[in-house]
Amino acid sequence: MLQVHEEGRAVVSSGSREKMEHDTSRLHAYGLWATYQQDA
Amino acid sequence: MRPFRRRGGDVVARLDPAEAHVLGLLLDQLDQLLAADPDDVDGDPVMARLLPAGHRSDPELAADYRELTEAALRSGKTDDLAAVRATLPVDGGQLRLDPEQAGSWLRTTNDLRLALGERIGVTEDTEPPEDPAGEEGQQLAVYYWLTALQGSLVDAVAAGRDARR
Repeated sequence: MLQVHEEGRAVVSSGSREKMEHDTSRLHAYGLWATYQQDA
Repeated sequence: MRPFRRRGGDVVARLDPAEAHVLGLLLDQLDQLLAADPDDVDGDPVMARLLPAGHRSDPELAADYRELTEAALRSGKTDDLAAVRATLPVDGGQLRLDPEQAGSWLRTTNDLRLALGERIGVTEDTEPPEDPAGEEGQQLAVYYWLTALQGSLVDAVAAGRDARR
């Protein structure tokens, strides 16, 4: 939370695309501004 | 307003008639937004904040994600809103919420703050209004009131969790 506050973003989860879509949607349900992306 | 506090497994608060009325109006506005035809509210920054894109840089993945999740996100918000409306005393008075209802209130008051905050341009540098009676001051005053309401609800719910440990 502090990292988000100071840097504007933080990685909170990683895994398969399906799991990331699920996690992102859980965060959206709580009004959090989450996105997922593939690591290079 | 008498802020939220615990009573047994529930949380209780008391709203003035004017507060209950304002909250009812905000719920109406959120309800209209959520029920609107997506094409009509396309590009509305408030909708973009309530139903955010899932992928940062790839529009195709973001569209896939939206197709998969938006209906559930939208209906979840609509259900929460209905639960808040069902427990809100329209002319003010005491309200009492069980844990599930408290969850709906937490999520809906958050949506209301996001929507109002986006609309009136609240940022982390925003300060309470100098003139709460002016047109801009009124909306900002409502925002701060929502923040206080939600804050007391978070505290009351968290106190219950600590007590059960």
